[in-house]
Amino acid sequence: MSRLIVPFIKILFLGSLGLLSLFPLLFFLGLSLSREWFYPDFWPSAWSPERWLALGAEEAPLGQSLLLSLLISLGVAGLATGAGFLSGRQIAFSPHKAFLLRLAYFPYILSPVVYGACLNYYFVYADLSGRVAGVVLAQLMITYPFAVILYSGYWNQHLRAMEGLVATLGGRAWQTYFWVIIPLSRNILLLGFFQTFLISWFEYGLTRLIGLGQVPTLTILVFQYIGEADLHRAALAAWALMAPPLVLLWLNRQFVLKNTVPDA
Amino acid sequence: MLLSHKYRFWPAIGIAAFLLLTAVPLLLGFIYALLYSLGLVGALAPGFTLRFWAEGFQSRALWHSLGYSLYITLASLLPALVGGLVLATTLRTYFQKGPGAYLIYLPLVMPALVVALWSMQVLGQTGLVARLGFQWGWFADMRHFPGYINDGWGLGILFAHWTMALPFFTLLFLGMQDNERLDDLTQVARSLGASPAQAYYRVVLPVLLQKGRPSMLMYGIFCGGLMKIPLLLGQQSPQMISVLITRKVGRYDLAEIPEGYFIAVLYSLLLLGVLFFTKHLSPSK
Repeated sequence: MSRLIVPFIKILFLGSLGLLSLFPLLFFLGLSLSREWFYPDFWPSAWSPERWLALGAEEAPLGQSLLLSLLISLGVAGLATGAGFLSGRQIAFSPHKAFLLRLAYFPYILSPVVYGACLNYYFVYADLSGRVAGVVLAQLMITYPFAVILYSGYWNQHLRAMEGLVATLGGRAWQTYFWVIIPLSRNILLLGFFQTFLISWFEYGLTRLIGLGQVPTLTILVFQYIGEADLHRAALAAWALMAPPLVLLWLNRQFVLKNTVPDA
Repeated sequence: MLLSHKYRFWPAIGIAAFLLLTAVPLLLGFIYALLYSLGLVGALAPGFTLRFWAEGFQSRALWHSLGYSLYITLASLLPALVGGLVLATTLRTYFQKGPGAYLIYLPLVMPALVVALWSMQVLGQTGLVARLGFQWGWFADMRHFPGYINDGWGLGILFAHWTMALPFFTLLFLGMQDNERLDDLTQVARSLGASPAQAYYRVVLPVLLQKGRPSMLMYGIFCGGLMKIPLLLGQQSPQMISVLITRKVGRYDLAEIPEGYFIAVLYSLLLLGVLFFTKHLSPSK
């Protein structure tokens, strides 16, 4: 009896899992490719690839926004990973580790956008408001503590002993980092880079607040399309938003699983 | 350590970065919000006054919002937690290899913004459920579908949060079962005479709940600060606390800004209390 039931459960389960996890992606694909989709119909009445084809056209807002988002997120992820790795070392061996790590959580639990609202004045004062530099700095304030939390858990006595070993053998500080520590830590450096990249890539509240809507990243564009009730374009932008994490998922499943903070 | 002077330069950058990018901004932000709520800075600042604090404590919007945030947090978290626990323990083999191992990760590529858009398209007045219901004749008039977003119970918000939290907790518990060697523990319990049910309730469940506590707690605290989903799927009143603060602070009505900062100060103090007086908040590994 159970020989019949187990495959049945398996097919049923995998089928529903596939439906639930693939359906949103396919739905947005359909929405971005459809031209007309009137209300009570369950199926679009006309299809057209025009929006996808227009992506590469010059002065297409979506294409430009894609490029801008990519540059901002790559920059933010690189800076946050580098600084977070160095800070993580110092904090991991600090007597105040517990206190400092709790501080690092604070921007997240307060919610990035509330944090940004409290700091907005300083951004305006420093003339960073409405500029790409301001958005990068604001996103660094969110992604960097995340990297610190990640790397402070990674640094341990073993790595420290490695530093000592290199020094004993006559290596300089920069040689220790570039030839020993960084190659040893390649995997977690990549993990941190991609996860901070995704935090920055998905950021909306801070970018809107500090960027004043003048730094049109992809998330800003999706919100704008939703506001204009242009759901077909919103679906296309949503696909653009999901493309990098899909690639990362294909490379390594761990890259997209942040086990410390959800997307706010 | 004699060697350590050689390595002082790089780590010093590390600490400087932490101060510059985390500690100092937190302090500056708090001071600004505090001064604003006390009437000392900002446009139309009346000079030192406790009026905004007194009014703030009496404002119903604040207490409604806090209660609503708590409700959304619990209602988002608990079903996802139970669901994740059940999926991870009973159907574990399907997630370990084959298509299941990839499919469970797929929802993670959707950012909150896209999940919110998805919820709108499923539950909204012209959403998929409404279309399906009309096609299948659940209701005769196509305008009769109530629409479950921007509703009083926050169903749209909850649906979106479940979509994100269920895969998260499933993966969390799946990982834990491998890390904590629960198979071995179960086998020991079984060979000592425990029934499968006993092994599950006395060994597997307590270990998972114990080990997962920091993540659950953190996720719970984060829920209160979630922003994009309530912004798109919530109603005007009551609002989630982070939405309330940003709306008040960002208003054109300058009179509301001090109250917004008062709420920000109060909320920070509340979270500070939770953060520093709760044990087991260390980052989950």
